[in-house]
Amino acid sequence: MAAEELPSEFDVVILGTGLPESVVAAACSRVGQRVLHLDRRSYYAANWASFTFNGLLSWIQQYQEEPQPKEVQDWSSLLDEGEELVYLSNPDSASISNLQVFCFTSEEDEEEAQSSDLPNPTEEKAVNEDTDVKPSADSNEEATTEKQETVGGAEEEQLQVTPTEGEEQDTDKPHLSTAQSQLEPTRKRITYAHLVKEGRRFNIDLVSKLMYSRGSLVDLLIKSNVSRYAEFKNVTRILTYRNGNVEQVPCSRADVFASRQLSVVEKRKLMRFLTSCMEETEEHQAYSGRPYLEFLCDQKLGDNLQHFLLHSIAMVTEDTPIEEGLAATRHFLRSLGRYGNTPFLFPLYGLGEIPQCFCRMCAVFGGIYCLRHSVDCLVVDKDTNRCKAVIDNRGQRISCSHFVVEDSYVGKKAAAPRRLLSRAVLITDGSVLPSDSDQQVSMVTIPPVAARYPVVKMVELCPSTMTCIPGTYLVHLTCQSAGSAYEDLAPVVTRCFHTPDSPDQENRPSVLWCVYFNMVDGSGVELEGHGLPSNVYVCSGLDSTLGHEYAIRQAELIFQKILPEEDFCPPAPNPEDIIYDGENPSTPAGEEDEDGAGEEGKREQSQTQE
Amino acid sequence: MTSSSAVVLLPELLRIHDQRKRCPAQLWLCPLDEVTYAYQVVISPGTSPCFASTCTGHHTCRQRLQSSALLSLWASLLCLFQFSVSMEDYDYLFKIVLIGNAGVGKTCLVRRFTQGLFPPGQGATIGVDFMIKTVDIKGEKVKLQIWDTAGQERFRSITQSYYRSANALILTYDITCEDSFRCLPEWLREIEQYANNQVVTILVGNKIDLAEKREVLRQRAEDFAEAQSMLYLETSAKESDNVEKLFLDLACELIREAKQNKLDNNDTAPMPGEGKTISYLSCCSLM
Ligand SMILES: Cc1cc2nc3c(=O)[nH]c(=O)nc-3n(C[C@H](O)[C@H](O)[C@H](O)COP(=O)(O)OP(=O)(O)OC[C@H]3O[C@@H](n4cnc5c(N)ncnc54)[C@H](O)[C@@H]3O)c2cc1C
Ligand SMILES: Nc1nc2c(ncn2[C@@H]2O[C@H](COP(=O)(O)OP(=O)(O)O)[C@@H](O)[C@H]2O)c(=O)[nH]1
Ligand SMILES: [Mg+2]
Repeated sequence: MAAEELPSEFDVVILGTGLPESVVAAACSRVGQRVLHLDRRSYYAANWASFTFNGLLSWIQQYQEEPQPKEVQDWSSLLDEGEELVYLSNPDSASISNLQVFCFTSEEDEEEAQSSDLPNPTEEKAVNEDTDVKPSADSNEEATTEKQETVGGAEEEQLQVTPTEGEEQDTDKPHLSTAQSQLEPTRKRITYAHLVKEGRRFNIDLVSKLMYSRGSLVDLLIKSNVSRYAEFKNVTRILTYRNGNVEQVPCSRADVFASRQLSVVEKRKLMRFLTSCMEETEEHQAYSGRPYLEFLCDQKLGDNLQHFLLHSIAMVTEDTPIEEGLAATRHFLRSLGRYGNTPFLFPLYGLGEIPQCFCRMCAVFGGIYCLRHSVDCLVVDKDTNRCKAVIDNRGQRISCSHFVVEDSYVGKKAAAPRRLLSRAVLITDGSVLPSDSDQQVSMVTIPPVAARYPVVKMVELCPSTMTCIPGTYLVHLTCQSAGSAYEDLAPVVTRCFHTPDSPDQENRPSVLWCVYFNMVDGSGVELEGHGLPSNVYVCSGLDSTLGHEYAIRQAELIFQKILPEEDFCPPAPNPEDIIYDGENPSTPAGEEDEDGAGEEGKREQSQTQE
Repeated sequence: MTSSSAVVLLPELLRIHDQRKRCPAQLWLCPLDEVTYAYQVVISPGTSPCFASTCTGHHTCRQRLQSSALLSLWASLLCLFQFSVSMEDYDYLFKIVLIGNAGVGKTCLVRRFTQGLFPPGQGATIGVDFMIKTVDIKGEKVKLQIWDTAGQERFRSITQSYYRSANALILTYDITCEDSFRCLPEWLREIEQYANNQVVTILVGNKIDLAEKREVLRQRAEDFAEAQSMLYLETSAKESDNVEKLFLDLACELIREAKQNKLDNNDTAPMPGEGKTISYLSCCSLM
C-alpha cells in the first residue's frame, strides 16, 4: 500500500501538520483547491502533537540521539529548461533542546514485580522495551535524589528511588506498607511501571495553550463546523501562586461575590474596575504609553486585587504598557461566561487533536494525506521566481501553484537568533489546590518567583480531560526562556510540588515523573522572505502566548495570499441536513450515471437549507 | 418534535443524567449568553426551571438559567427553529467508524446501507463527513452515525482523533485481496492505541459476489476474528448481501453493551464524550 504513487498535480502542497498549516489545508480544500498535505514524521501535528506516555519516551529518545546527517540527493535530472532546484534544509532537530528527564517514583511496585503473569504477553514486552529506552536523569540530579534516603517516612522512602537504582529498594516492606495505610488508606503510589503500562491513556502536549472562549480558534471551529470532530472541557478555575500559596482567583461575578479572600470593599472595587475597563475612558488615555501596573496602583485597589488583575486576568508583566494590559483584560472578560465560569476551554485528548480536526476537514473535501513523506526541494522557474513543483523524498515531481511549509524546513536561513520557550511537563499525584471535586482543570499564573525569573503559566489537567490516568494530574509549565528550561522552571516546580529537592513540602502533590525542554518560539519568523519564491509561505505558528490568536491569524493571512477572493473556512454542511438523491424515488436513474453531479447537487441543497 | 423546545437541565441534574453513557459521541455545548434567552421565552412563569422534554433523545443542553439576561426574541426564534430542525426522536445514538485498506469497499458499504445504492467507480463522497441512518431494533429507535475515513487510509495517515469516541469499529478487508487481509494486524494495533477500550469491533470480509476470485478462505478469517475476539461477517456491498445485517447486528450488540454498562454502573472506565461539542447553535449569532 505504501508504495502507491501520489498524484502528481495539486493546487496547494503543504509540508508540516502543525496548527497553522492544518488550518490553511482545511481552508484551501474547503473552497475546492486540490491539496496535498505531507509530514515527514509518523504522527500528526508536528510540535503541536500530543503523545501517549510511551510515545513521549520515544520522542525524547529521538531527540537525545545524535541526528544522522541526511545525504542530499541530486534531483537535477528532473528539471526542465529554465528551472532550478531550491533544496529545503534538513528538518532541524534544533527546534527542541535542553531535554532533561527525571523520574521520582519507584520503578516497580513489589506485588506487581512478583506477579509477573501479566495476561497479555505483547503488553509485557512493550513494558520491557520501554523500560530500556527510559532516559536517565543526569548524574548530579541522581545525587540529590539519593540524599533523601535518610529522611524517612513512607512517602520519601519511595520517592528517592530513581529507575536507575531500583535494585536497593525497600527491604522492610511490611513496616512501610502499614505506615502508608495509616497515612492514606486509599492512595497507592503510582509506579513508573504503572505509568508505562497505562501509557496509552496519556495525551501529553508538547505545546501548552488554552482556547479563549471568544478567541479566534473557537470562532473558527464554530464557523467552519470543524468543532464537530472534537469535544471540550471547561477550565474550571483560575489559580495563582502568591506568598508561597496557591489561591483561587475570583473572576466571574459569582466567584467575586462568593470569594472569602476578598473583603466587601474589595469586591465592590473589583466589580467597578472590571466594568469600567470594558470601555476606553479618558482616564485610560491619560496613562497612554505608561505601564498597566502604574495605572492599577493609582486605582488604589490594594495588593490582592492588583495581583489578580495584573497576573491572573491580564496575565501581563509589570512593565507591560496600559494599552496591552487593557486589551488583555478585555479579551479575558469577553471570553468569560460563554461556556462556563472561566474564559477557557480545553480539548479532550489534548491540543494535538485540534490540528488533526482541521486535517480531517481537509480530507473530507478531497485533500490527500501522507505522513512519513517529505519534500526534498522546490522546482523554481528562473524567470518568474515562482515555485512550479516540488520533488518529494522519493524523487517524484509534484506540480503545484502554492507551497506552504513549516519553518523548521527553512529554519537555517533565518539569521536572527531565535527566541526560545521553556517547557516542563510533570505527572503528579494530586492537585496543587485540592477541592471537593478531583476533576478540576486549572490555569495557574505564577509571577516571577525571584528577581529576573520569568512569569510562568501552569495548566493542571485532571484525568477527565483524557490526558492522564486516574490518580494522576498532568501539569504543563511554560515561560519565555531566560536560561534552559530546567533553570527557568525547576525553581517553580520545587516551590509548588513535593520533589526530592523540596522534601519538606509533604503536603503538596508529589512529582512522579517530569521532563524539561526548550522549544523555538517562532513568533518572530516572517511569512515571506527567506529568499524563497513568492508563492512559498512559511508557517511558524508556535508562540509563547496562552491563546491561539497568533497561529490562526497566520493561517488566515496565508490563505488570503493564496486565494484573496475566497471565503476563509465557510461552514461545512451538517451531514444530517444533506438530502441525498438516492432517497428521492423520482431520480433513480440519475444517480447511477452522474454520481459526480449528484454530489454537487447535495452540497447545493444543504447550503440552501441553512 | 413539537413541545420539546425547552429543556433546561441544571448542572446538578446533569450529573445524574445517566443516559449520557449511552451516547458518548455527542453532547452539545451552548454558549450561555446566546441560548439561555431562548429558554426564557418558553418557560412559563411558575414552572420549575427544569423540564423533561417529550423528546426521548438524550442530548443535553446543559444550561443554567441566567435570570439577569435580557430576553431577546430574535435569538429565541432562531434557536427554537434550530431545535425543531435538529431534535429527533431516538433512544440511542451510536458512532460507528469504518477502517481497513483503501479499495476494500468501505464507502460502498456505507452508501449501500444508508442510501440503498451501489455507487459506480470510486465511491468517494466529497464533503460528506458521516452518514446517518435511524433503525428500529425491538421497538427502540437507534440512530447510527457512520463515519468513513475520508481517504486518509490510502497512505496510512488516519488521524487519531478519528477513532476517539467511536462506539463501534467496522474493520473491513476484501476477500479477493490477500494483502488487505494481511494488513489487519496493523489496523488492530492502531485500534488498540487510539480507540476506546470498550469499542465493539467487527471484522468484515467484503465483495463475496466475486466468489471465483476469493483469496482469503472463510475459515481463516473466522479463526482470526475469534482469536482477536471480534465478530465476523462476510458481505457484498454490490449485491447488498448481509449489509443490513451487519449494521443491525452491530446496533443490537451496542444496545446490549449499553444496557450492561448501565447495570454494572461501572464508572471506572472514563467514557469519552465527557466533554462537550461546541454547539452548532452558537452559529445563531452568525446567521
Ligand atoms: C444534529 C443535532 C445537533 C444538535 N445541536 C445542538 C446544539 O448545538 N445545542 C443543543 O443544545 N442541542 C443540540 N441538539 C439537541 C440536543 O442534542 C438535545 O436534543 C436537546 O438538548 C434536548 O435535550 P435532551 O435530549 O437531553 O432531552 P431529554 O433527553 O429528553 O432530556 C431528558 C433527560 O433529562 C433527565 N431529566 C429531565 N428532567 C429531569 C428532572 N426533573 N429530574 C431529573 N432528570 C431529569 C431525564 O432523565 C432525561 O435523561 C442537537 C441535536 C441534533 C440531532
Ligand atoms: N464486486 C464488488 N465490488 C465492490 C464491492 N464493494 C466495493 N466494490 C468496489 O471496490 C472499489 C472500492 O470501493 P470503495 O467503497 O471506494 O472502497 P474504500 O476505499 O474502502 O472506501 C470500487 O470500485 C467499488 O465499486 C462489492 O461488494 N463487490
Ligand atoms: Mg472510501
